[in-house]
Amino acid sequence: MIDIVLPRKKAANNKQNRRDEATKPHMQPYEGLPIDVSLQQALERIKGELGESADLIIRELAIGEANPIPAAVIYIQGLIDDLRMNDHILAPLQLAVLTPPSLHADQTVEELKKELIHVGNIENIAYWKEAYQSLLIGSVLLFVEGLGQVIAAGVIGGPKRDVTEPSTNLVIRGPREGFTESIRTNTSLIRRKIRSPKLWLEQLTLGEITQTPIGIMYIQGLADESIVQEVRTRLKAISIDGVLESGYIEELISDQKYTPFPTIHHNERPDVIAAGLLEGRVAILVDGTPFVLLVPAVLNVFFQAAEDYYQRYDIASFLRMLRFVSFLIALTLPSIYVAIIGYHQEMIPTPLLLKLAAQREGVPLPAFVEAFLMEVVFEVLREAVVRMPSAVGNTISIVGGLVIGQSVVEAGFVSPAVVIIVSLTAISSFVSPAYNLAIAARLLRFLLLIAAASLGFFGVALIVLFLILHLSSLKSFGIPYLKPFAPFFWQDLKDTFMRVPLWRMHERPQVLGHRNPVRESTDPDESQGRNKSR
Amino acid sequence: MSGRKVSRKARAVLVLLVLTMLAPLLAGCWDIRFLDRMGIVFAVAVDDDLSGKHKYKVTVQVVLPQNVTGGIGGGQGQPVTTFTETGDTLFEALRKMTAMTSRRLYFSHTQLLIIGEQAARKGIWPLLDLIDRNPEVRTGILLLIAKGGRAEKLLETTTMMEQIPVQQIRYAVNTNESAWSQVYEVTAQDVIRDAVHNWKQSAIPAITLSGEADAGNDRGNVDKIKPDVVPRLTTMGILRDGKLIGYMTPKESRGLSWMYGKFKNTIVKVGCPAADTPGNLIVEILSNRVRIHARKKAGKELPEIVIDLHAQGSISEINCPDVNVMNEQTFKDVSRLTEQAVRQEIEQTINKLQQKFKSDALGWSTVIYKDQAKTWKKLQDDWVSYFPQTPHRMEIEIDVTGAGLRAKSIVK
Repeated sequence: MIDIVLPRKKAANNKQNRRDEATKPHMQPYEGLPIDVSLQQALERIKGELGESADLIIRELAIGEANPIPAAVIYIQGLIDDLRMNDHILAPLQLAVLTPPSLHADQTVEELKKELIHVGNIENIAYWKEAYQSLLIGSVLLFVEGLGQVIAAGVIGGPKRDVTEPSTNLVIRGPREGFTESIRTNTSLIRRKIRSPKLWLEQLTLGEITQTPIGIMYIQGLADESIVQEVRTRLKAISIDGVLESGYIEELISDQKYTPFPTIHHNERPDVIAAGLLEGRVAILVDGTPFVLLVPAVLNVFFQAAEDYYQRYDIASFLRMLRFVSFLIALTLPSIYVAIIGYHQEMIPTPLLLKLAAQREGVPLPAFVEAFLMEVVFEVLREAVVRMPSAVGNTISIVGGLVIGQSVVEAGFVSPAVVIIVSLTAISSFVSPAYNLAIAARLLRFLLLIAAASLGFFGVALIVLFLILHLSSLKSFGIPYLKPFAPFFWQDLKDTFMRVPLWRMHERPQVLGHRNPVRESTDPDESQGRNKSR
Repeated sequence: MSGRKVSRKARAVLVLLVLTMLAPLLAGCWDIRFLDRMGIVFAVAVDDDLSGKHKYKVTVQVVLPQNVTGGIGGGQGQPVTTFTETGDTLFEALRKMTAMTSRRLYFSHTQLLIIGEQAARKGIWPLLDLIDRNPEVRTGILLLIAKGGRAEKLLETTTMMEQIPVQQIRYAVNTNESAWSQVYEVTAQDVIRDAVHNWKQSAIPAITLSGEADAGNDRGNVDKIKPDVVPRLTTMGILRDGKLIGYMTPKESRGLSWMYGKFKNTIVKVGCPAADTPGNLIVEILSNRVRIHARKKAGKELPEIVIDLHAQGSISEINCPDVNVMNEQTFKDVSRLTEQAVRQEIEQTINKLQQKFKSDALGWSTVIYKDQAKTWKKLQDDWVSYFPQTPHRMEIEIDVTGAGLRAKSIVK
């Protein structure tokens, strides 16, 4: 055993080393390097460091009339708002009639900030590392001869996608806005939902090369401090070249790495994230993606849709149960079919048995191979439709539906029952409001199918048992994944298989174990006007 | 440190994955049975072997699913076929059939066991052991006796209402039980349970072919509007010690149903309430409840069986003039008449079983055993001779309420 492990460990170490070498040079060398006092030197350096990139704009100018001081405005084209820079930075600087300030650094900076830069978001930077960072986020840097400091003015601009209706998690009733790729837009969308000073936002940067801004948002006093701390710790432990999507973060900070089940919730709807924050969860926003993460996430969360809370509780409860049932169908239907056809024929009602037997008559493949192939074909179709240009998508569905669905049955390769089973399974898997949970069902379906083919219901039961054990071993940021079922919390069952009326949900879910349990104290009688009759 | 931890986890997952993939190979698909490699047996018929070489001649009716029409795959041929083989036991004959069948016979969906009259007279217990012992065969299969003929003929007769002949017979028993109740369903399990102590004797419904018995073997039979031959239920056949000893008359047969409270629904024909008026009046019984107790009688050795019967019904057909259903008294009269009719039926049944068959198909033995356990101990060994003398008393109460949608009959 040791022989096997050692080389692998070595390889892992090598990989680690190689990664360190690759990522270090990107920001590490600038650490603690002070801004040059000489303007010319500074400009030379920045040009050299950025490889004279074409989108790096250096605008040299002189401040003051009588005794002008050489200065330079530096920015990256496309990252900033040109108009604002012209009006509020360049123009005041060039029109300045300042008495030549002494070259005492602090005084100059204060003077400049006070008088000449008409932008809200301003900071002094003394080191190159920070200077590069803010330049690349979209700040305008002002270098002044002899200062040894840089004034960074944030006028972030450039192309940005508008807030539109999200393409996932659609609702019939509910807000239509969705997150965009800009973290600032996203935080503002949440702030517009929760106008509380206790909504706190912490920001950090992840990705050695990409330097992606990451936001941790929570409601102070509702979110469990230990969970917030855990989120911070885990995020800070990440060392990776680039973070291009929140999926990177999700994968890196999950409690359990080897599981098909998602332990972090993601959503592109501000209302869902706001609801999560109000329950005491913590949101993790990543710049560059509309998908915001929400932790901790227990299994139950993946069955909740935003709309559950916007429509009446009776229909919401019905839909909730429908989702649980659909999940089970998506997970087990093909395996149950294979098990029954291959092993438990006595369980089928006689007329149904006759129908199934008639269909099986002359079909060349065993039921398992049939079901397995059709499931694979369906997965291929689904993947094709997702990846194809949308113009061709229709062709795929026609070819898939017609050729696979009809011809295969007519040719007698596959029995119609299997086609029905596969389609039912497919439709059920799309019921899930959380796409990532549906993926778990998608993968496990094959496992169950194999078990059913080899051991019948016994095999299915074994795998299901294994799954239950696995699920109860999972945790999301320290919260047991099966909460409130196991460990059992009677109070929290109100929002599981059922969605009880809002006026019965007085308390926040105990799942998160926070300190402030009361959510509302609406007296249902009063709020619904039942006492007003007199 | 953490690196090693991850690798151990990864190893566990890998091992698990390999094990999972190996499991199917190890199991070798266990006892998988392919649906299209099975011959689904719907009914088994047992007759005595006329050649005398073996004890039984067994016929099975196997469904050919591809010929059962409706949906894709409905074919042209007959929906069923039969195979016949002889043997000294049921199982022997069934296994010998593999010489003829391309598929393994499958018995989990078998619904009927029809026993030819001759075979039934010789005893049916030897046939039931297999049914109870074999896990594949359901003990809930129905038993029938082919009255006055051979059971195989019943399986070789085409039927109109159901494509599969066995279904026609099987559902006929069910329909008859719930709406008329001359016969009722008796499963193999019931008979096996009776046979354990052999105190209570079994009764099994009988069936016969009505028409030209030999005309049913091809489609010609069902291509006509009026088929040449149809299977037809008759009455309950009475067994003693697992052997058929005779049949009840239709009325007696229903008396047996009354005693067991078997039906959901039946009708009773009574005379007109007004004396000397010809005609009949039909009362439909909608619900009934029967309680049978054994009561000790002072100074007598045998306990008295008390039959306590309550039923509700309504008048559903009036062929009498001057029946005024607006009058409360009419209902009282009709109730009394119905009570009498039912009493008569039951009386006949008891009489026949006690005096002629001397077979406790009424289950009084179990009643005494439950209610008068001490007395039963004394009777148990000689119950055969005690049974005919056991006295009984009937307390029948039938409430007739309601007379349908019409008030006065148009019959003058």
